[in-house]
Amino acid sequence: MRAPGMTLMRMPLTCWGWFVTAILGLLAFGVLLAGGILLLLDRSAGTSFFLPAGLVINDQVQNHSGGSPLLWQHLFWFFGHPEVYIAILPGMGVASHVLSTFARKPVYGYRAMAMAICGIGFLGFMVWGHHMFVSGMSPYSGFAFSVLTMSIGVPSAIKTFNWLGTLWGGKIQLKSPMLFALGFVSLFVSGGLSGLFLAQPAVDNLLHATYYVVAHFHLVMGVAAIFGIFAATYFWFPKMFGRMMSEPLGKIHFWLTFVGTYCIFMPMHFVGIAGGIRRYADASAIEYLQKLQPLHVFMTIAAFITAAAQLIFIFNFFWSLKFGPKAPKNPWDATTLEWTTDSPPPLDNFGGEFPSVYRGPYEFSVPGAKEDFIPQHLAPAQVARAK
Amino acid sequence: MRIRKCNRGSAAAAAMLALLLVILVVGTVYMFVSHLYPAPAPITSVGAAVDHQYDLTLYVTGIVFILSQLGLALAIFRFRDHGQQAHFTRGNNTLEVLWTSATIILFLGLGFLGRKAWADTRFTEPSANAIHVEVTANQFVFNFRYPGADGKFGKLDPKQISPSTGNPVGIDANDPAGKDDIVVPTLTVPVNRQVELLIRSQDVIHNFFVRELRLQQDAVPGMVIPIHFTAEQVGQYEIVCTQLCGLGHSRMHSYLNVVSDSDYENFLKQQAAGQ
Amino acid sequence: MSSHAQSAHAAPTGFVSKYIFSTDHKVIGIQYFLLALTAVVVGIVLSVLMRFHLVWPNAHLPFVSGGLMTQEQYLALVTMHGTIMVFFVLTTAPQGGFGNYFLPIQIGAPDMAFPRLNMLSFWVTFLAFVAIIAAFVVPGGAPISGWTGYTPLSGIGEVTGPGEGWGPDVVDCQHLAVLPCVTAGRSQFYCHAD
Repeated sequence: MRAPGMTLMRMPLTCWGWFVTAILGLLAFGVLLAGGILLLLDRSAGTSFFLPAGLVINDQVQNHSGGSPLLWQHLFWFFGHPEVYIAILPGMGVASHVLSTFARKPVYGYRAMAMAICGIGFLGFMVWGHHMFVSGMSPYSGFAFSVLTMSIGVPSAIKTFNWLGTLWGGKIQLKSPMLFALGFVSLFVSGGLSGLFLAQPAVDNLLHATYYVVAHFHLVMGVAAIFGIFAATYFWFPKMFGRMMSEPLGKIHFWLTFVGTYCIFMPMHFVGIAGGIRRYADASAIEYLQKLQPLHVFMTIAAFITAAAQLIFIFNFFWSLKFGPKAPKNPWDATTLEWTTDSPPPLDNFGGEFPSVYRGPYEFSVPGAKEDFIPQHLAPAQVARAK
Repeated sequence: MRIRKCNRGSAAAAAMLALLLVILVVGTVYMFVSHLYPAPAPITSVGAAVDHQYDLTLYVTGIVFILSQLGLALAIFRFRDHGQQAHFTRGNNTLEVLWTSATIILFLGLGFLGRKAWADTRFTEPSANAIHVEVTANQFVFNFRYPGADGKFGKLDPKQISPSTGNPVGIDANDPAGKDDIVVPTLTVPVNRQVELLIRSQDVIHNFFVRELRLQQDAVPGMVIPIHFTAEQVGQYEIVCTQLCGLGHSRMHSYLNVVSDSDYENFLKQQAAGQ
Repeated sequence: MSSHAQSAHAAPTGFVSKYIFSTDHKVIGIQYFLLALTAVVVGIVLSVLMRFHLVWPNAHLPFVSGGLMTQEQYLALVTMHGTIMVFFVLTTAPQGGFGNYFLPIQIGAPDMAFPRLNMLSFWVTFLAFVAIIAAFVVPGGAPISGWTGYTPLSGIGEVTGPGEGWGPDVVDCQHLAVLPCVTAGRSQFYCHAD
């Protein structure tokens, strides 16, 4: 269904992100579905898929038998790990797209970036056991999962280097979408690197089920992925709604959220290293947890401020829907096909005149061209040359 | 090429963002290096090996963190829009191959170097003269069972579990081997002797974790999972449950008492006498 | 697949087919986005309550019966925060929201491969969200086993304690509801890019 000339290697990286994410979703959710059905049966139909013999709960011996609690964990995490890549891959695509547009430079290493998205998606299916190093699973498979998990750091690192390469030598315009895309890169580096500790079972002995894990996954999923969503919102709001969002409010939202989320989740690593256990309702029963309270107070205050800052975004969003200045077709001078049509697009997206594609998606600052961007849909004869 | 009008205001924003990233790096490095909230010192040599692997990982990730965040800061500031033309490039294949190879070697090398610290806790068999203690977790206590003078654990029967009459783990009254078993709510072990823990659960998944041992293991109902350690320092250390097990999860804890050999013998004698 | 023949579907008339049960990928994208926005506000409120409790566990909370937050209420917050954020923000907004809106346009297509399936996919997700919120008010309350729902804690039912009554069943049904529709929705992305 792609337009004429839109080869896979001319697709914007956002499309690569959505494409691979869709495959992950198709393959992973079914396993959770199966596990969920089995769980429902265990809970209400007397089956014992996940329940072994001899359970004594509230002084009652349960009459389930034959099941394995580890089976649930395998089924859940076989879904659960691709799930987190489903959360981050579209954000990575958006980050590449926005960084390129606002640095006025092609994405550095486009092919490597597309391959890295596929690599992350593929490897994402093989690492689920790193949630289960101390679960009672065979320690040999623990080692295998560890090697695979360290490997998935490789395409992630490639993407980070290429993002830096995209910025290097660019002409960086710090509009709201770009601020969030830059924040995404910083947060992804921070969150991704803490994953390297958790990927090693020896170190996991210390860090499993502590706040270190919570810090790690919040930085990647709860902040970086959210920054991807924010970048996408600020970037595409003009196209979706035909109006511009307020740039000053966007900037304030960025600064408060960027500083705020780092203030929440960086100290959290130290709670974890010191032995702060997750899912504890309170620390009063464990002696050594008492001295970690100052960290918790700091994180909570930061959380209050950061949560309040999101009100700025919500206000900006809804206010701009009605009162934002009208948006032109291509407010960011971007190259991809959505910027060729009206803001918002008509029902069939292109008003009957479907474009053809003549080049890749990130032709910015091409030597010899008159403008610093060449849209994908312009035929070569239409591209103005510099004098 | 027509160079569009640059956005002068972006110089301040670029400087601020770059500065923020620098503060992030400085602050993070300071927090990690200053050990303001450290893990307690390990009391086993395997624990020390875990710490060594952690430190190695910290150096590697620390260097990557510093270089990436500072690189980002530098790029943001140096290449902020001040009227220049961006430098067109599609990338550099040599560079791609180089940094991909470097990353593979670094990450996989790191993982490979940590294999012994993992193997030492999980792959190796306990020595023949290890002390065996069975750890039974249930909502929301730990109980520790010693085999007693006969060196044998008695059989367990879930139907005979009765905490209120002093049989919290359900030792089968019909099994003579169980008569001398010692069941206590805290774990007492002698220093410098290998201890094998047989970890089990009566109801839901719990976890046995002692920070100073750098060791934790889920207690899974239906399984008995062995782990072993040799504590090299006398002291009292908290045992916590790290796997969400219900309402009392944050209250479920016990103590590991590492004592001298003579104190350990006295402990066993006192428990035996009390039976 | 002939994209131009498909684009000749008539423009919808009437408020309901234009904005409620629209098969237009752009409207569906915005619907997913607004669902995610609602979910993230709920998720943030839950997390703020959690953080508040961690620092002031003995504070008197006016909207909690008895005044003090209990262990099971805290664990319910933890569980629901994770479940809502993962399933209704992180899988809906980036993919269902922006993906639905912009994948067709960025590749030059008039709509998604299966517009009616797309519409159904959103509304089943919406029902799943209603189910999730309902978990707070069903007998037994919201589940307390964490979003990971490890068994046996989540597998036996009320025997293991409060929060293991109807709540986990409802959340489980949410899984069953959102999963096929997400899967169906995803399959379009796949067919589409080919």
